[in-house]
Amino acid sequence: MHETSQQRKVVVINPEGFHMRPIAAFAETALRFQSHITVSRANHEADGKSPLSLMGLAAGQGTELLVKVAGLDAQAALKALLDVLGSLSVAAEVREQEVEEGNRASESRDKENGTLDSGFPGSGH
Amino acid sequence: MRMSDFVVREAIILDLAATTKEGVIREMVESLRAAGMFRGADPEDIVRAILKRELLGSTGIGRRVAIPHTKHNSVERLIGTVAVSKGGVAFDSLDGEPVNVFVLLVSPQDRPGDHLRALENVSRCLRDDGFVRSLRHAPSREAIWALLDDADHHPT
Repeated sequence: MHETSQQRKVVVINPEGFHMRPIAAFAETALRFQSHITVSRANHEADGKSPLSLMGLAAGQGTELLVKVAGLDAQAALKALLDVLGSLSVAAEVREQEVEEGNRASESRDKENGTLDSGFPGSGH
Repeated sequence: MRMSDFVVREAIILDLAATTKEGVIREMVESLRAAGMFRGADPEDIVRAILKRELLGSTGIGRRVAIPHTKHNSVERLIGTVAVSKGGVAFDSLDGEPVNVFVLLVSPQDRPGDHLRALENVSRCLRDDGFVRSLRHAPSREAIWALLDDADHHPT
């Protein structure tokens, strides 16, 4: 095995956003791996192994996040992390050609999330 | 969604009597009820909802802190409170350690944005070990409030 660095863009699809439950599941998964793991939103980088750090992202529905993994087990770690995000229907990978569209949608959703009545339907978490 | 925006000052608990997860949640919900929250609702319903959420995964996220929470239709805006256990309470935390600082949140059903922003502020405060230490050793409820207010106005 040798050290590698991998990254994937994902978009938050859950109406509840990247909230505590998926954050805890993500961090628990990340802690199983040796690699350095970060999740970034624009200029804000969070430690993927720290739930408190991940909560600082305040990533609502439509937010684009960059998952970066570096280390000996980077490939396995990235797969496991994407599986966790997918299995909880929290985030989906963004194909490169969708990135620009996603950025525009994510900006308008961020503005919407910034108002008091976001109008998202409630669902259990 | 600063801490001082949603923490109910009168419901802050300086030293929890409870020594179990359920006990802590009950004591914090009762404290909010006594401070005038949840009018027209059965506080037991709120306790049940928070405990149900804990079954999905502990909100004891490590570093001696826990953020038990639920949505409930009895609140029109996000409210919460802070409680300290000097002795620590076993909370099935991610790191296996007991919890000394609890921030309980109850949100309205339809405001995920408010909930995420509250978590953002709570997590920023609780990431600071010095802040958590100060809370654990606070001599009074007023001192805890002053710490929250100071953290809001001087974010690290």
